[in-house]
Amino acid sequence: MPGTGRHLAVHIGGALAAVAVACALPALMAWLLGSHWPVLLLPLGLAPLALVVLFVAKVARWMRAPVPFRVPLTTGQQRGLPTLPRRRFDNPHSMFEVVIRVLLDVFLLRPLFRATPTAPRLGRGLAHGMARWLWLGAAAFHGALAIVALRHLRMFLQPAPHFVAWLEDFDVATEMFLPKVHATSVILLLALLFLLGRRLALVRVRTISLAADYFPLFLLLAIAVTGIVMRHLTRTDVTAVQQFALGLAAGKLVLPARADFWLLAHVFSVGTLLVYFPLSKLMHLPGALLSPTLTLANNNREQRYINARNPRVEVLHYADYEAAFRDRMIEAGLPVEKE
Amino acid sequence: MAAQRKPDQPEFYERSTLERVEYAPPPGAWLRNPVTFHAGEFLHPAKPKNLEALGLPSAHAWSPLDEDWQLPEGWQKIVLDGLRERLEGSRTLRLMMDTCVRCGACAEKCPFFIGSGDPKNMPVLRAELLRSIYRKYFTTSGRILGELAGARELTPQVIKEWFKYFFQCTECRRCAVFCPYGIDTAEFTMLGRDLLLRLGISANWVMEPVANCYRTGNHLGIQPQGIKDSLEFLADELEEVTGIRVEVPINRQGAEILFVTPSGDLMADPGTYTAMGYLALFHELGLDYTFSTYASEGGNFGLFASPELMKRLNAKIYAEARRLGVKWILGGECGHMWRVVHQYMDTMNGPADFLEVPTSPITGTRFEHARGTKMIHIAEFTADLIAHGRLKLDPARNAGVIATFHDSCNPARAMGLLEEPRAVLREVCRNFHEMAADTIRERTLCCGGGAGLGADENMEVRLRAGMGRGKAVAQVRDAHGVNTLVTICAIDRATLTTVCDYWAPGVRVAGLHELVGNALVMKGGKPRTHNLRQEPIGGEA
Repeated sequence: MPGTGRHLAVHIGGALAAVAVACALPALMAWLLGSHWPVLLLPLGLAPLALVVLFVAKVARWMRAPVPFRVPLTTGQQRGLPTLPRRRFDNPHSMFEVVIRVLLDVFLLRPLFRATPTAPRLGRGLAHGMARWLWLGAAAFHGALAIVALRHLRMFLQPAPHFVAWLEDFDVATEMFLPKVHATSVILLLALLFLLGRRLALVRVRTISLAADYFPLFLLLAIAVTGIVMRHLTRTDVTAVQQFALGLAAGKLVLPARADFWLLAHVFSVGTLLVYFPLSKLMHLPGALLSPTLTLANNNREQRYINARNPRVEVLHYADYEAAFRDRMIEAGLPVEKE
Repeated sequence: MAAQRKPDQPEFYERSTLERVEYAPPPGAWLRNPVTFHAGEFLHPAKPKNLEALGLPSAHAWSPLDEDWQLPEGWQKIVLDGLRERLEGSRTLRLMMDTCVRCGACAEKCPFFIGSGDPKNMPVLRAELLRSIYRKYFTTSGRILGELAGARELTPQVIKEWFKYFFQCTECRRCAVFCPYGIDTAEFTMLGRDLLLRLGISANWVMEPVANCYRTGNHLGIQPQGIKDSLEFLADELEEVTGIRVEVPINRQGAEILFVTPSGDLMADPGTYTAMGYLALFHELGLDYTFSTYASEGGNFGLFASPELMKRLNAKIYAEARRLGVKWILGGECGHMWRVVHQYMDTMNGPADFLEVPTSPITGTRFEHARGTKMIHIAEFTADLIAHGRLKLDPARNAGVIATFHDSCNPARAMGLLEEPRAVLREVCRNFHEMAADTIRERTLCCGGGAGLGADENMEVRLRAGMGRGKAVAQVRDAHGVNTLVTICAIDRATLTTVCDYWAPGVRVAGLHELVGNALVMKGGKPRTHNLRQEPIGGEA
């Protein structure tokens, strides 16, 4: 399948090359400049700013466009006759119900959980047995990523909030393997590998995948691997970077000592992710929370939804209709307005 | 024998051939695969006269089999300007362009993919057909990186691809149920069709009903005297069965209720039996109602063409309610009609402040959930009658019926009208068996013929898309002896008849109110020996 091979080569190759650049570039730049701090300034100083600016710009761009109609997706019994049991959080009618619905759909990934293999009835080929594995993989990935990201707050907040310490305690308590590794690190890594493996193994998912789908996976893998290497193998001293970051947050430039390759690659990859986030499909985070099909209440027949741009259209009025058919209407004994 | 059949006949296709679906995509990146057409998988192009009747641009003669589709001068600009206009006018579209992660959760949920294995029938790729153009002309990364960013040039090949695949989608929204972001492929299909229409490219099976409806008030193009003849004929038939002559009020000023239902139910079996059920019910209740000839269509094929056309057709319902001075509107059994009524009508053509909150004159129930739009579904109306014990029903009259219920995509996923028809069905028929859980309610599988796809010339596509539903029906037929598929949609009644004959022979399709009409005990008349189809009771199917 030459075309498929080319498709894979373009998109996987492109994504891998981009991640390789993100990892190798900082070391190269540091070597060329003979100094580390300007390199660190990009991911730690500029990237968070870029994230905020671009994120806000993108969401603002979305929000500027109106929602012309109220067309929610209903996944359960409506609110109608009082005798019939309704499904409030599948077919929300009030704002409160909408909020719960969105929270359930977005944070518990309920739509993915709905997947059941339709295959047995429909014959060969469709049975892939992966129905809820995607839900599991996605939940593991997002959950682990969130915990790992929160754990990193201790790098930037002094003193760190209590819940960060609590997360740390939890992770330490569930450490596994030797040398000891945080459970969330292992889950994150496995979930990333699962998502990547699924993308490559399922032929129809491979068909639809673009560089934009591989790149974030490769980038997150690079971040996870460099992070695990630093913590558990090289035991890299991160306090220099921490001081630098805390200094930046306070508006001061605290010049760090040398940072090693792993640290540069890790921090620079994270910076890349931050900048890439608002420019890419990773915006599915705010996208899901704003999706009109999920966030609108199904109360259409009760409360009129206003479309400010409701266009005027040409309609055929009754008078013109009757004029066209009046003779036949009279002949058929149908009432008319003008005899 | 099959060789003598034509591609527009179900018999042309061997079941074993259709069942052998290849789910591995063909070689080549989908962005570059050329699109081809063969008989049985495409709809006839819209005739220029139908576009001209509506004052639409670029009406011209073309064929999907032609190399050159005679696209109008400056067609790329027309498409891109249209795309920009729609993107600026819809947050939904903007989000759906940007947020898809191509996880593939939707892929095998689409009835068209299930039945065809064609990768471009995966909802995600159907959307990418448009997204690839959006990226090329509306995003920086797409402009610079091209193919690497999943972007591509707008060529005539893309237009052909859009025509093929946006008319292989029934806008059923099943994919959206499984999408973590609720991405609604129907929005893409509607956008794609809207852009094509600006080039004079559409399906005749969509545009002829639209043109008819604009001129005569209904999709079939029945003139006022024809509506009267049809209804009188149905009253005659009903009299044969019941011995009771029912009045059929038409265009009557001052009636309490305007009744609007799809015109297909007045003309073609088995919809006509459902229409007879309405007539029997309204007579028995002594309902003060009227049909209209000007608003003689509940359905709205404008939904399948463009938002503007949808509004132009829909405007007649409120206009007629105002002219006739009714208090509220009752709607018959129809799928996409209820999508328009429930989600669009009040916004487009409201406010309906000249009407009153629908109130059942029999039970006194005020349907508060419809106090804005002022229109309720007949299943809601009848379920309320039953809940109040105001109907005398004899389910033994449906004794020969072993029923299952097909949720139509629009009432299920755009309203959540799931339990009302079931509540009615259980009272009028003693034998009722649900199909598999993942093929009903919000996860219902499509009939394969909605959204303007119910023609004959695309029979292969319809049979393929109906395979999932057909097999689920065959399963309850084999397990419980089900012989009747009950549904509340006029398009279902037409298209599922074909699907059942093909995939689940021995099962026929009936409207909910056909069974209500059978079971309804009416005052006077003669003892019922026959059902509304004039078959001896107990001897059906």
